[in-house]
Amino acid sequence: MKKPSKYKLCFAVTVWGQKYIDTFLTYSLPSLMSENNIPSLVGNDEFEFLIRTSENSIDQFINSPLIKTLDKYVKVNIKGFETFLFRGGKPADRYWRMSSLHREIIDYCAPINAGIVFLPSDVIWADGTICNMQKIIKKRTPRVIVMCTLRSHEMKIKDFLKSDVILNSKNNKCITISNRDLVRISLNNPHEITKSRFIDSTRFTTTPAHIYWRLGNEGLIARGVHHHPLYVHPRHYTLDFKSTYDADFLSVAVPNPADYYVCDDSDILFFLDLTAADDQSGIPEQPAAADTKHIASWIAKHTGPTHRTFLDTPIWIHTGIDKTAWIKKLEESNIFNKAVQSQVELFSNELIRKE
Amino acid sequence: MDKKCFFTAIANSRELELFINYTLPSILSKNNIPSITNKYITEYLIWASEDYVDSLNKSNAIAQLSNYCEVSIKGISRYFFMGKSSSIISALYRGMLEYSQKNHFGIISVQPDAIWADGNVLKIDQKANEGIRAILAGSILTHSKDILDTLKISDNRESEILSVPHRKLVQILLNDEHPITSSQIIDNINFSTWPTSIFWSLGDEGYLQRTTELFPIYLYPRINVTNFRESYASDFLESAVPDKKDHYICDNSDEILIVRINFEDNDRGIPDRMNLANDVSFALWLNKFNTPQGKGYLKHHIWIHTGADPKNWQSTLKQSNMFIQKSLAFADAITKNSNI
Repeated sequence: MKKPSKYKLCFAVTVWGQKYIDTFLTYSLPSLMSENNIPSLVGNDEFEFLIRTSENSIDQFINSPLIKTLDKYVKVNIKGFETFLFRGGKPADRYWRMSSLHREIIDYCAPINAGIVFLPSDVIWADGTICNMQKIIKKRTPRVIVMCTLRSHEMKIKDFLKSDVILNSKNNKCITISNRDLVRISLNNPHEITKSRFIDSTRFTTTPAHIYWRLGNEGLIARGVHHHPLYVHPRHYTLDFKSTYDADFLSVAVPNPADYYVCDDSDILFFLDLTAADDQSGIPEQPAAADTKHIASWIAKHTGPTHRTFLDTPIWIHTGIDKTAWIKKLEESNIFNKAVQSQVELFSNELIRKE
Repeated sequence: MDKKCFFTAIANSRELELFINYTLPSILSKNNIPSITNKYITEYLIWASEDYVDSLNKSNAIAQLSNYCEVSIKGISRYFFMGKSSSIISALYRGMLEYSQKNHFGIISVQPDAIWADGNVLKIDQKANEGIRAILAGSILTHSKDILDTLKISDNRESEILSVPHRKLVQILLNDEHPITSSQIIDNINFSTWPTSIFWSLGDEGYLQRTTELFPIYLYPRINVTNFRESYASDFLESAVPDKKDHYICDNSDEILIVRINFEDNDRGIPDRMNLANDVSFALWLNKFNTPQGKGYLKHHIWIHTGADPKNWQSTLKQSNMFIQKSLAFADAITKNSNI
């Protein structure tokens, strides 16, 4: 008889700095602990939850009652690194720190051939996302699952959650929000970065990693090149990458687009990003309209072939819509995408020629 | 007297090799560490990737160093060394500052790819004892591997010492000029497109150097800060020792000479076609890639020589002054114009 398949899955969080640790322990982890997330993980499998942080923060995790509860479901493994490594520097050093910790995680996972679930520390998870992720892994056996998220106004969301009935569930030390409710909360409290990514924005983003088409007040269609890699089971456990886990690491670790599952509906997988109000990345100072040439040139410069394939999948982020009513909008995004894609190749060739 | 500690941060295997084989042996020469060892030096801190701790511990140079001071080698998680080297180096400096400030140390900072002329440490000690808080020095490149290896063997067969007097080191630079240095000489028809230093030739007696890059080889903070954004040599220096009266800029290679080793075929800034030095393009480069601090350093000149008497080179000094003044004036005008 065939043995039931066992696989090792490592959930990975890199977090440091009091603000981010507080957000993780107060919002992100409680949402991961909702019924259809971590507690739903089906047995027979091996799970580990890796927390990588600064040495002086370890006690906060060890002493957290929620971490103790988490440890009942998955083996928690916490490791701290010298505190001075996390102090000061330029804003970009944040990515250096994160990637250093991710390299340690990748190296840890390599000998056990584990899949890695990348969990950002400052997000709120929809109830069911982890359960659905596990189903996709078992049913479709992809090497990578990517998903689209929405940047939301951090303080407004935190205030809202503090006052709203949804937090009744906090008595159980978890935050349970359905996918559609979480999308609604996010759409009602969008970050300026999110607003700048709508195709009809008058201050259209200078970094068009994502483009959105509005579906009234009920959601949006997203197309993008930098989706969040929720699950990665590397073919190559490379530590030799320059930027981050969602950029060049991904292309090297799993180079074949056929290994990817691009989640196309927020009903399946969703989390919202808590983004600080003062983060104005990509928002232009002067009015600017979306332009296929500018988008194509940015994509050619900042992405590789693997990431570009994500553009082909329209992603529905919604509060519960009849998709057939929005076919025209889908077609509009298809036409726009084709126009962008045809120019991306031209710009790429030009870049290669210049090099 | 203030206590002093030495510090070296090693970013990669290239730096490890250079540090063990050249930098440390030069620091061990008679008029460097041994000259002040019984006074106020307490420790030599060497921070590197955990992967390098064994090599360091096994090296003869480290064994020899431990005859003069306590050697403290700290290994840091290797994963932090796999990204941008400037990020890890700055982080190591922050960690070191935390440690040294608790102990009220003045810091003698040794870059791991540098050869220190015999006598640098003695001079630093003298200046520090006069109350100077920050000693800033320029540097010049060498690729003279064979010459340096010969010196190591002939001078000290039994030990790990590389003892090179200042003028002899300059002679080595002149006899086997680094291509980057050549490209930065003002009248080279293939003048550098990355002129962090500009040199005026003093014939076979050396160079007059103007540079945008000075490094605080000694620093004893007036203000206790351990954090910085850009680098130890830029914003940290300005916030820890803000008063320029506390600074000493070494202007003569007879006092302090630091030679950075660059054996590889590094062709940074060497143009592939004719390029003449001119004040306008230098001004544009200054504005694009430099801070006010770097521009300020250009006002100083450094004599790198084998025995030249500056009195005989006053016209060269004047020429360099004119070029720098015009360039800085252009840079200033361009900035003002673009602000309008």
